Amino acid sequence: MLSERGADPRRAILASVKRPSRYTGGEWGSGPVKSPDSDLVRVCYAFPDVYEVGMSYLGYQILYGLTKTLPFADAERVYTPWPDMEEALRSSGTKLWALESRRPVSEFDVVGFTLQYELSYTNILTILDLAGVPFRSENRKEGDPIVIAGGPGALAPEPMSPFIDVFCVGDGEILVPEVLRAIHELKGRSRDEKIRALSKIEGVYVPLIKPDKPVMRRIAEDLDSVFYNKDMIVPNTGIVHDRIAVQVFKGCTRGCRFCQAGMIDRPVRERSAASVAAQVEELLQKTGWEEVGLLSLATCDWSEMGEILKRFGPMLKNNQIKLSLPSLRVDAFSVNMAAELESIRKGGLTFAPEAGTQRMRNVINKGVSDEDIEAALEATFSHGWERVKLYFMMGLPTEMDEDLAGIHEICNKAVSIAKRHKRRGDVSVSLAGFVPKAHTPFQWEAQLDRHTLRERGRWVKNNIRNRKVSISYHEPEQTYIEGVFARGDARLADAVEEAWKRGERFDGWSEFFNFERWMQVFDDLGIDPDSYACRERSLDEILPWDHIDSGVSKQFLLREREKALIGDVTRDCREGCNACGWQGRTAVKGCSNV
Amino acid sequence: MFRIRIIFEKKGWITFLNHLDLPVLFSRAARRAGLSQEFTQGFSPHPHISLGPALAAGVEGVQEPADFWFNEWDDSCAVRWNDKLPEGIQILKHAEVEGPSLSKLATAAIYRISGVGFELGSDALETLQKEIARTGILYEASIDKGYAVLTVGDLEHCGAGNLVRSLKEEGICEGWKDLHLIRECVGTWDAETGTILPLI
Repeated sequence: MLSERGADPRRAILASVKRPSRYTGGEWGSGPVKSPDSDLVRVCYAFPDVYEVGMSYLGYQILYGLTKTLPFADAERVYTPWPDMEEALRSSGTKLWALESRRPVSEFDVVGFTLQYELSYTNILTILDLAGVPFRSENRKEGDPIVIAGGPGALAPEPMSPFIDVFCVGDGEILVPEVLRAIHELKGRSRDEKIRALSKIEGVYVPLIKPDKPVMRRIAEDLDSVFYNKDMIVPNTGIVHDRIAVQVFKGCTRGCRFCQAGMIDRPVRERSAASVAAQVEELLQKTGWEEVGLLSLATCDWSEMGEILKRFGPMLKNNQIKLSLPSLRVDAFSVNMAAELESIRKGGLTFAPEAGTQRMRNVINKGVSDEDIEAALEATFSHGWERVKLYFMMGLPTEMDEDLAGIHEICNKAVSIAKRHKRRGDVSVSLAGFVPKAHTPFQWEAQLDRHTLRERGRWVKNNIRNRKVSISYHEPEQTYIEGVFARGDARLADAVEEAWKRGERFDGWSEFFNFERWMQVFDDLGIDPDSYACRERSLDEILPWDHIDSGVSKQFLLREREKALIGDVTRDCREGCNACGWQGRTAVKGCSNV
Repeated sequence: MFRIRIIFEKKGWITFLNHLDLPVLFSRAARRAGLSQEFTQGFSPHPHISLGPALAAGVEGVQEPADFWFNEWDDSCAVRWNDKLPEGIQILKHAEVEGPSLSKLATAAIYRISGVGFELGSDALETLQKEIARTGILYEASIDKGYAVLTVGDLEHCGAGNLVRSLKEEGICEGWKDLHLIRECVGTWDAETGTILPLI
């Protein structure tokens, strides 16, 4: 018992670190740990970032709930210890513990990671190390957990492939039960036998067993009949997204050419308003949260949005709940929708035009016109919001000076529209360096080198002649390292391990990211980072992710690339099939009747 | 409108929860229990709550006070609320109250402090007495079964953090990690009787 004098040495550790409630568990909705039945497959979901970030990730709330419904499995969690906690654990020789049972992570049958973004990879090694699990699959022994990874990064798995026993490519709602059942059926058998059995499941990629055909991504076809969580773990302390989160649809039909998520999560599968409403009502009762976020890649596109607003109307009016949308489409329709949700216009709205000119937006197939932007800004300020935040990218293929200047024009327009409506009209711009991603039409492009990115960022930032506008751009060094890993191969695993050994942690956090250290590591290992980030790929080269089939064909990506280079747009596939590769391969509405 | 004072305990792993996280914790549990809290007016309405004096993270709370304002309240509410609280937090007593604010009433507290794996002796007691007298008000001090037991006032200026630091500076301990701290109770100091009057 933690209360008794001197009873638990971990108390001393908790007393010595910042925000100890990151590591104490006991949250409402967590556990209980299923009875110590040796027959259960025990999974520890491990998130490669700190508690406040990991607890905001809906994926684990879903998978945790799902795993607990399986009679042959149980789930617990662990998050990446902050550097001060890592030090305290290491210096006291304390093994990393899971939050529910507080048992060592090494005692679990499965440790499950999610590969959300490239700069979180070193954190995976932190967790493995503090759990006492060997980094490399080939060095793991009987008794070591099976290390599994899913998420978008599983579609470009090679940089992490030596460290992961089993990649799950596709929807966890489908793969997790199959994987855990297979492991359960082989209880008592060797680790190798279990992993071999898993390799036979469609959508599973085991790096140590070279697949003889591409690994096909698995999808949940009908979201209304697949598991959805009726409970959530409610943190005791503040987290990044502190609210109920509900997924309203998967996939996206817009076809923005830079967007990996939109490409790899096809086809669109919508949930019905009835199902979402029932889920939200149950979650409100079970959790005590007051705010609900409707999540997807483009929630304003959800065809059931109007219906949901009708159903929640009374509750919204009485301020019983607050609905939030993660992002707004750039048009008046979305702004009007947002206005319906928020009676008080607090703060501002956020839009992502992504590029400053129509031509550039056509190249990236961001279906937003100049008129749309103007209409969105009009609606924003006429409804009473005071500020806007705008997201743009720089370093896009075919980018020219006019495209960057176009960002200024949009900002100036925002300020003048705000002025006309007598709003404060503060405009803040976040400018990100474009990173070409695997499985997109731009996967062959050269990423702009960091010096040029910095030049362009500076130009945009320093040449705005409007004191209402503030512009910041992402650290080009972080963009560069992201670019190295985004289209990397297995050789980079050595760099991840070496960088970790030299102290790299929490690379997504600018306070910890150490660019010089990464470059030194690459140099010492004889790895040329430019050849990963900045090199243009030839169209017939074999790419390190070609053995993973996202469902979208290479032919489609090449066609889209061609169209991009001449600024030709592709319609939203809700308006008509563009033959991306899913047509005829799924029963999903819109793709099946082609 | 009902102003309900609760006396609750905070034990086990949840002692490491920040004091300022308590309002949200209690409010969410209240919502889960179907209770209806009164909200403050203004730009950012939130449930009307008045916390007791700050209980530092890592310190066990045996009888901690807090006031909550509800739109409705009946006998079943506390039981339902307790049922929805996370592990380590339990409401022990509750009552409808009126009168001065909790911060005006919570003028004294009893702390019990011991070492983890070692007892505190008279030198520790002396150090603590000096520290309390420096920053707050010392009413009583004694050693009881290896624990320093201190009755202190002026809680705003004299908290667990100061006490730990003073022991550390005297070399009696290394810091928070080798001390066990408990706040036994919080109440109103009654100079006449020389005791702490309970808040309920």
